[in-house]
Amino acid sequence: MSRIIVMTSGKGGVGKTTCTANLGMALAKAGQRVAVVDADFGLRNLDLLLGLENRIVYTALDVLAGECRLDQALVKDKRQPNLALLPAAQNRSKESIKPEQMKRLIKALTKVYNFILIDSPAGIEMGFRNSIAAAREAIIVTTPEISAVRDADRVIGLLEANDIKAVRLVINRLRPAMVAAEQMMSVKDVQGILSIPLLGVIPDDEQVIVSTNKGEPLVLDEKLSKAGIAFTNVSQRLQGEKVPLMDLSIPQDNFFTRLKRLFGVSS
Amino acid sequence: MAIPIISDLLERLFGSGEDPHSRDDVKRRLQIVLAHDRLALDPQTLEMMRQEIIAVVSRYVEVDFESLEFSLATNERVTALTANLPIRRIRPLGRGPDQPIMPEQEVEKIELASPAEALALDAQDAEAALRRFEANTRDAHPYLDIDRSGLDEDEDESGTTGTNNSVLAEAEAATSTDLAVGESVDDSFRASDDSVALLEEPTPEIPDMSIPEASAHAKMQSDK
Amino acid sequence: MAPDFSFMQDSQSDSSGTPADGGVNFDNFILEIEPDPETTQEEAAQTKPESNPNLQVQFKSERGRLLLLLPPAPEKSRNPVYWEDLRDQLKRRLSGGERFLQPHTPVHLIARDRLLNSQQIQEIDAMLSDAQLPLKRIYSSRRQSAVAAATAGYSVEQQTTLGHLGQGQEASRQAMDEPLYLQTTLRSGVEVRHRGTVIVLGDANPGSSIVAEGDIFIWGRLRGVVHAGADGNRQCRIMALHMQPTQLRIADQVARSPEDPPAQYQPEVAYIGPDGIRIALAAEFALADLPANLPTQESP
Repeated sequence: MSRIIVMTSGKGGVGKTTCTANLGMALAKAGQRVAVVDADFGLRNLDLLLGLENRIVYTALDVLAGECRLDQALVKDKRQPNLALLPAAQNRSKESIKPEQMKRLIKALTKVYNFILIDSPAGIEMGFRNSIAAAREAIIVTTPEISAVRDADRVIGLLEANDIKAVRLVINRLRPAMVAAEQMMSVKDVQGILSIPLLGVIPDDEQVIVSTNKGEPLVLDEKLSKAGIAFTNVSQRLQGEKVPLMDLSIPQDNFFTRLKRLFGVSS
Repeated sequence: MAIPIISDLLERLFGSGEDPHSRDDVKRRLQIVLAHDRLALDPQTLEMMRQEIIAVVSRYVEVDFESLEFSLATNERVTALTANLPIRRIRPLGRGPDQPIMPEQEVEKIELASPAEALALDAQDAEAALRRFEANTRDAHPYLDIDRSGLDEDEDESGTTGTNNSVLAEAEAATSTDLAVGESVDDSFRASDDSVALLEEPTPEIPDMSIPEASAHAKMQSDK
Repeated sequence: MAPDFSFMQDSQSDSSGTPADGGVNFDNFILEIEPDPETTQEEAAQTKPESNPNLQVQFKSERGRLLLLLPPAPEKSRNPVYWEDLRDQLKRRLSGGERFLQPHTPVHLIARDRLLNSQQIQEIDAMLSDAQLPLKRIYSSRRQSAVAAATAGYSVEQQTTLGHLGQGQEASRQAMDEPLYLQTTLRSGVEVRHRGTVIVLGDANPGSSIVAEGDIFIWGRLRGVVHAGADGNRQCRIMALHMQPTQLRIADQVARSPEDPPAQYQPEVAYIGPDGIRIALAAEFALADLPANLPTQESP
């Protein structure tokens, strides 16, 4: 039985697509057969984060229009052959596909892949409804910010109303130092408010931008960054392994660490 | 130029300067906002509910309007409405509640009451009319009857209770009853007039958990 | 001296094997979606879908007047152009080629089998008016569109079959259309399709795409996806001042840019060589194209 998981957030810019790319890649690295589906028609980005943008010949729309077979539209990743991307069309609106069509695409993918990650567009309109149509599970991506949490809450409600019961939380871009200084909501705060099981916490990491620039998901790095480790942990939890939460607590902020930071000495 | 740099340096060394509780702020704001989001109650409905709760409670106790609090809070995906209604004192049975609730409805009722009053004057003597009038003004508050199909019945009932009450009040303090009734009627008129004027100002969209100015004002009026 | 132009030949899917029976061979499988139960029946009942997917809004001049040809009805097209797309395309055509549109040239709107309501017709009229082009007459094969146009006060001709003005579909299949000239930046999400050569005076940004049945000339930076000879003509070429495409396609061939971009860009030409898509410096390519017996000069 394939697992069909929609990655969604409500608010845009919280790192949905980054999470999808990294999680997909991490699962593939672990030997799972993974298809990542870009459901953001008109504003596709997943191809860029995976560095596959120049290999797209056909899109999901071409498959639906009967212009090509589904396997022809799938872009296989050269670095990680277990991963394939089903690209969205860039030149169409989100209304150009219907939930029922999405279901047909996903259903066909389940014949080959055992993990199907659907990257949902921001918002709760047609594109969102398409992306959740075929999903059986959901991963909510949020950041510890008021607007992101509020939108996440709305989306959780919509998912529940659409009979997606397995909804789990990934908190992205956490800044432990700010939490320690009482200037950011903690993991506990966010989880307490949203009240869904926590799948993982991704610390804010500049390496995310670097990896985006290169089109190489963080989890492919030789030496994993903090965020890379966190994404790997999330993928392991998703496969049912018990992995403790990464220790994101920062060393006690005292005079000397401040002094060191001030003078650029890495602690 | 040098001074800001030094102060910046000091701040970075010793911390401080920023207000230390934005995390608490955001939690508090989120809890309120989510409570409203999850309930999907529009502000009007919420305000109506608030008014009705106050109306019911005010029938039995005198509520401290200055410090009452309504809040929707949410925890573990369960939303709770918390009403904090400080009670000044138990209302003696038979006295009408404080007047400030739903002034526009009150006005409506009073206007409706006037022809009835006239009819009553035709039919009965002045004292009976006054009692009737009192019953009607008292009747201005049962907003809890969302189903108003049995309005006639209710009116009858409250009419009788009204009479009973005034009889009781008469028994309690035979001399001052008429005066007291007259005063309260007067107050309700003034209060409602003022509050209507206040209500004509645009009301904020955001559900206000504090008591609205209109009722606070009316309370002050009736206190005078 | 010239940089390495060995574009990587790469079909999107390496799987060209036979359908897997029973267990799926992960390296080599065929996946097809189930046919849509609704549309398959509809399609069988309806006329065949438009065979040429490259139809967009198009201007054509004919004996002193301008024909504005609309793409066919979206429900019959493999590349449906809905009203919003149509409006965007028309705007782009008007603003991208306005220098060549003589003001006050009467425009004949060839609506073909598209359904247009009076509001849409008025909107088209307004856009044309902005470009100082009067809408003279509307031709439609749909009764509803004709009625809508007439009630909106336009002169209408209802055509039961697509006449010569409606660009008879059979006839149009042979000859390419006149080149499409666009003076604009093609931004992400814009797709230009044309049954002929496309000339862009401007950049083609990443995320944009041009599908032409003829050649493609980009007088600017080419960073999007371009497909020349889209109906199979392998002789077609792609030229750009600054060739940095996401992807190049000529006829049935696909190529990506090399991993390491050259340090400096020069005008280049992409064509199909003996082993797939090749790229050459424009100057050298032009020389190689010349008849052999002519004296050739050293390139500077």
